[in-house]
Amino acid sequence: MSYIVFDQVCKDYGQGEQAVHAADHVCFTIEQGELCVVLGPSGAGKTTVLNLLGGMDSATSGEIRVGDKVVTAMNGKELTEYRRLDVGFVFQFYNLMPSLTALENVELAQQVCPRALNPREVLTQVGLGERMKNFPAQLSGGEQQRVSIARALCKNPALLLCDEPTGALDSQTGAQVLELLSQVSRAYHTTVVIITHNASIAPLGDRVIRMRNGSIVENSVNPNPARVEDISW
Amino acid sequence: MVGAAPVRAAADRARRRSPALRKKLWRDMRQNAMQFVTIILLCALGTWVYSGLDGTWRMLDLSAETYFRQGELADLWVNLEGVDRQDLANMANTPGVADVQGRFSADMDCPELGEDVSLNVHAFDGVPRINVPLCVEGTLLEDKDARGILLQEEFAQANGLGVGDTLRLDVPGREQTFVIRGLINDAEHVITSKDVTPEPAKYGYAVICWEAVKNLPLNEAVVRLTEGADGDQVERALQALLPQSLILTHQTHASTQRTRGDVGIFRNLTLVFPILAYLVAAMVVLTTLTRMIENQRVQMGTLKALGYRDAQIRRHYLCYALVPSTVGALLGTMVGRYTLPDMLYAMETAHYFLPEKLRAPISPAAWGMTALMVILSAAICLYAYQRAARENTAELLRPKPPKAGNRVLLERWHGLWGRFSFNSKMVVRNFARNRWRTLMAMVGVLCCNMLMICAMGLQDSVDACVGEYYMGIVGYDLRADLDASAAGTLESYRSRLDAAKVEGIMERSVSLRRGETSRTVLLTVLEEEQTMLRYGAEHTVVPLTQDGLAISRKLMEVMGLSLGDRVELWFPGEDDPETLTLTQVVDTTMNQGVFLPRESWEKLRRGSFRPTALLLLQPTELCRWRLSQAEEVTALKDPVEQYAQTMTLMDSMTGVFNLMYFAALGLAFVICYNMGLMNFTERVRDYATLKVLGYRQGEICRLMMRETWLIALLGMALGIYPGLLLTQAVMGTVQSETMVYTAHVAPMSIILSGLITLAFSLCIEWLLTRKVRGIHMVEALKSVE
Repeated sequence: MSYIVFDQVCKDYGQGEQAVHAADHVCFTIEQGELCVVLGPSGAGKTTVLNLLGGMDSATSGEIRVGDKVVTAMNGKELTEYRRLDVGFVFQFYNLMPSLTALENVELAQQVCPRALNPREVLTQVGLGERMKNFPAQLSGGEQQRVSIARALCKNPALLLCDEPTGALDSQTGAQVLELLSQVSRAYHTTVVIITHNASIAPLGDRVIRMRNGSIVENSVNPNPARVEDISW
Repeated sequence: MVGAAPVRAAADRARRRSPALRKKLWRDMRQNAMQFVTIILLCALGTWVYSGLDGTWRMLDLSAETYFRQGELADLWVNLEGVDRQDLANMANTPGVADVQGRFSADMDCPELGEDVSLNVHAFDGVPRINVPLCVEGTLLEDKDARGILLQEEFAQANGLGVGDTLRLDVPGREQTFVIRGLINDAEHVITSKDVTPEPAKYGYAVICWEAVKNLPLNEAVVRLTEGADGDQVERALQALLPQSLILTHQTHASTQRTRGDVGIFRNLTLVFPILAYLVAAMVVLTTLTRMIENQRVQMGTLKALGYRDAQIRRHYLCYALVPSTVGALLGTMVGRYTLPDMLYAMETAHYFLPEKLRAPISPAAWGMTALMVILSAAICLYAYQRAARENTAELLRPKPPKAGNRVLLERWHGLWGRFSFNSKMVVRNFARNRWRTLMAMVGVLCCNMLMICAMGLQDSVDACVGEYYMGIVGYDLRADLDASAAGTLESYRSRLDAAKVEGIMERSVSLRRGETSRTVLLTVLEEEQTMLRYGAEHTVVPLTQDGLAISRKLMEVMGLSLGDRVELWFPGEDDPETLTLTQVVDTTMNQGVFLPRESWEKLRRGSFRPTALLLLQPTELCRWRLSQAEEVTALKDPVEQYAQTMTLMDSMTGVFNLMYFAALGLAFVICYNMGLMNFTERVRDYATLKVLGYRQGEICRLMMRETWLIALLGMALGIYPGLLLTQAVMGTVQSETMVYTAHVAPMSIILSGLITLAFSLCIEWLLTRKVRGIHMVEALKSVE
């Protein structure tokens, strides 16, 4: 059975005739260790799917399974534990604590996760060994995003969810971040889900899911994922 | 093109009215309802206390002064043994005197009503023109009505008497029966008590015609002054005319002095505490408004980009301040004015006999405070807006980058910093990052703790003042007041009474004069080896000096005297004063006066030492019973009971202190909540991130509250000393001529105020926990940083 299963998942906002179907009977699967790119234009329902997968929002109907867990059956407390132990998040706008240094931001994740990795090592791995003591305001956008990735990785999550991780970055920095995510997927056998509206990123994925108007229009496996240096946008 | 002009005009009108902005204003208010509500509450609290206390003293003042005016209250009371017509005529001819009326005044027992029931009876020579009784029921006395009596309304009610009933009185020399013609109130008896607390069932006042007691001499003259006359000057002239008389003024006439003194104390209480509470509230309102306006930065930019004029946007943001501050300030002023005075008046006048309550209109000062709150809020709002609007539109549209984190001083000590937990480090860094915000929050808590300590300290100080006298200075267990004319010698009492110790004191009313200053005071003659009045430091007995007069410190200050001054003691009915030197000061919180040792008294050759009161230590029950049965004993006083009675008299002040306390509590709560709420609103994104990272509800709350707790603890600790200072300052304003209040804050009050602040923090933690639960991760993270 696949690692991630979305089975007829719906997410509606509002009721009756005014209801908006942000996710409309979404069905897809993702295997463990895959780097999956969820692609779609603005309003396609990508972020909704990511929020549902990450336990940040609850589905109106359908079932979401991650490994042996049924995310849609979890209550608030269980969802917290799920986010705490199983999921790592990378945000478009980094969401770092401005009053904490890079290292301390990563330690923030280490605090709540029993199987956390060494924050210093993780920061070194993402290439920030020399900038650990800097505050977010003293780092570039790419560096901040790498801190954000390090914070997610530090928890040693089985699932890494990235919401437009390159959205706020220039192409060169974006490439570095994607390279890092790709490496993580390979090195730690972590399932990485990247959502983006940028089609040129799609060739990087082991799997590409295309969405439009809240529905899946394509779920294809890419037998030969491209390398970051081979793509351009 | 036809009709384009009207369409444009309509569009212009709509733009001028800016309905969209108005909608935005209301929606913003709804969205930030709690913040606007806190501003309204703070403005209301600030003006409520001021308006309430201001209204209270004005209500009391207006009611009392109107009563004094209606009752033609005397300006001077001249006590003189045997006033004759010539004296009255001479007094009436003194410049500044408008009218004089003679009367016979004395306490008379009412044997039918019980053993210790008596009346202070005034027998007027003619129809009363001064201190005119106000008839409540029945009629006033006809001229020369030798049978009629006017009885104090409360006394009549307490004793089940009514108009037409008869009443037997022990008139000196005989018993005489009177018919009650009317029930009255009298402006010279606003407070009438034989001992400490008024007890209308046992002691009251009555008015009769002098014809009824014609055999008795007039012993008192009441005097009204002409409009604008100098009271001191007239008093001096009358004193010169009748040197052996004792003259009471409004400052020394017990009832008038206490009524006016209370009004003064209430007025002075509005000077420090409410103004400070107001300033604290204003400070928090101003910082909250500033932060709210600053948080509207991008929206300001958007409005500018849309082409809104500066004045329109300014007006819009001005409403942020005007609407809540006007609503709050007006609400506070009106609620304060229409609730507190009535409540406090009822407590204040529990021991007063005042016929009617008159509402004073809201004073210009209270209106001024209301307007000031609105003006201050509007001004800070404009300032915050102008500061933001200085940037150009493009800059405004770019959200302000979050403040950069910085290393704090503590980090230089690696050892110490290393010991800090991760959360503690985060808290310290946040403090450093938001120094101004942290400081203001801390000052807010500091001020509230200061106000709470002060409110409790004021009560402690009053307790301490009364307690100091009855539990400290007074060392006896029972005091028996004696009728001086019937009292035996001290030695005879010692041999008869079964108590561990029996001592005697002699008290006499005297006029203490120096130059043009004079006061009617109590002279206490003490035995050399007395042990039961302990005027020394730490309640020790100080022997009185033999070569001069001892004076209480407060009296010395009030009369502007100093040690070494030569003063005159005038005894009622005697025209040769004693001139003595002030050689000693004694400290007493109550019952100010002058003191002489027995030996010195006897050297004056003004009669032998005859005790007017016995002081007893550990009297047996039998001894108490004997004293209660003794003819010459006029009153038995137990210090413990007197302490309790005096404290009930202080109830009105307690009411004010409680009010202050609740105002401080309210302020503390709103400020703490406001602080927590602002922190929460501004850091909701951080908390949402933590939630996404898997932080549990409790962990986020603890992190959030650690800051609040730390600020609360620091503010609390730093507020203790200012609280003590404030108590001193407020006590300094409520001094009366007879009581010495020194600031005294019990440690328990400090602990209690601290605990309450912490309890508030806990309560707010609980309130905010619910908000953390409500953080919608997706929504909170959507907003662009």
